[in-house]
Amino acid sequence: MRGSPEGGRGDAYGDLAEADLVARCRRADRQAFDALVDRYQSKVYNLAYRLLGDPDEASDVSQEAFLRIYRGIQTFQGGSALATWIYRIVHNLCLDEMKKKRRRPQIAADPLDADEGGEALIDRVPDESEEPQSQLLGDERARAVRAAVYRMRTHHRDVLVLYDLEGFSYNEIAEMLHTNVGTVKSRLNRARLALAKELSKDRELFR
Amino acid sequence: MLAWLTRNRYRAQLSELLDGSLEPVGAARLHARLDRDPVLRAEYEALRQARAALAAWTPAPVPASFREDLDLSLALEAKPLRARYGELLDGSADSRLRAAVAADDELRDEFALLAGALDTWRAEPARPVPADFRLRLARRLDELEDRPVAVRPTRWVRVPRFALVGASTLLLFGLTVTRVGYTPDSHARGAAVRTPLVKSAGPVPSAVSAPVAAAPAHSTPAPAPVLVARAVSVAGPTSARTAAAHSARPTATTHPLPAVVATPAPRPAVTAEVPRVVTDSPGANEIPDPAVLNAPEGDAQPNIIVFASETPDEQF
Repeated sequence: MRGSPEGGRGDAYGDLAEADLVARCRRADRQAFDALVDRYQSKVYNLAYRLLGDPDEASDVSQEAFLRIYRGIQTFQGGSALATWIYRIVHNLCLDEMKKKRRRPQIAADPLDADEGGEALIDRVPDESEEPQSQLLGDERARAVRAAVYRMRTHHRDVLVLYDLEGFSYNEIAEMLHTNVGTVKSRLNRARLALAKELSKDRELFR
Repeated sequence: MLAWLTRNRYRAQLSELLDGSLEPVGAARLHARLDRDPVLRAEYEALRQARAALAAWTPAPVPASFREDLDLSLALEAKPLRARYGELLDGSADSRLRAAVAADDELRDEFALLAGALDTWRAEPARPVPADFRLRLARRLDELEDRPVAVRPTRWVRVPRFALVGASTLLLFGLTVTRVGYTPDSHARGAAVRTPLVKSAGPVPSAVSAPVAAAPAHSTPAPAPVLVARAVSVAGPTSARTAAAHSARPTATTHPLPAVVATPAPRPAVTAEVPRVVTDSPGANEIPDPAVLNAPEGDAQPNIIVFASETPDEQF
């Protein structure tokens, strides 16, 4: 095995400009690729997690995404930002995963059960250093939001995650989703409304 | 003429017959006509098949999200201010919009819910990447690099000699024919002037065959371009690892083409001996573009012959 498994192996290229990093990755420079993974692993993993709602699936998809990036960096033309390109790969893989999941027989499970990849019960225990009541409320809110988000349609969740959480522009999202800006805007409006409707039964939590 | 008119009259009734809307007497008459008119019968058959095909065209199922999207769109249509929640969320809303939303109980509650949800969602800390993430990735990358797909043995395809000779002859003939033109002068004289391809300054090596002729009197002298046929090498590996693998296998790696110094010609063209390396890559068996062979030294393009390698799996 080349290189140690710990993160931060691309520290030598930590300050390298993105274009230089890409150029080095194209030359199959493994250290440069490690630096690229350092930069994007958290974003990639969290995007996958937010879209899929399952840490294990998010981890697998992130792994696959980086492998595809490694194999496909030669084809990256620089027409779009590297982040957009990477996120598009992650998004496509998440969509594939969701399709596979739909085909697989589903076992009803609490999405927030730790055994099912959700939040561990220990995580829900409020921190004693904070006010217990507000911490509990915050946790309940977070749980309600996550549950509402994962009940939403995929195409709504996509735009909501990409725009409201990841901060991409309409143009970037349109490029990632292979659609036009108008569609992204109208989809985002519907997604926000859908989220509000999904949360309407937990209205009390947000008063 | 009468037969044509009669057929047209019946033709107009074919659709009615298919629909079953033709009265019985007319239908019987048309059936009798169809029995003895093969042209009309063929038309009737075509219509019947088209109709059957249309009937078999099942409508696409409505997406599961259709009704939900429609309801949301109708809700947006009912209160267009909902479409402007984004402005309120990013703080770019003007005071009129804020006042309008605040004045509507439904919109105010809805927006409060949405804003609260997004704030809660955003406030969630980023989930840490699993501890074994890099270890697993490193392993898979190593596997990827170790995989011998990049050094898949080149499959050599034997091309019959007569095919090569035929192809070369055809190419040479085609190039020669395209160079023969009629100038106004020659047209007046009624004679075709053969334009030389290359005026060779020396003996033409066997590897490069080009028609040699004296320059025509009307040709404009120009600086003599030096035509250098470079060694054509097999596509080089992209990494040291693959380089080692490439060197380990028996392949003809170079096909040197001797240099040729050529004198000016209107459009110098060279037919070079085609390297006899044939791969299974699409397009790899094409004859190298003479422009590539004529490229200057600095414009290195050695990858004329391409090894078949695994195409990256791309879905993006």
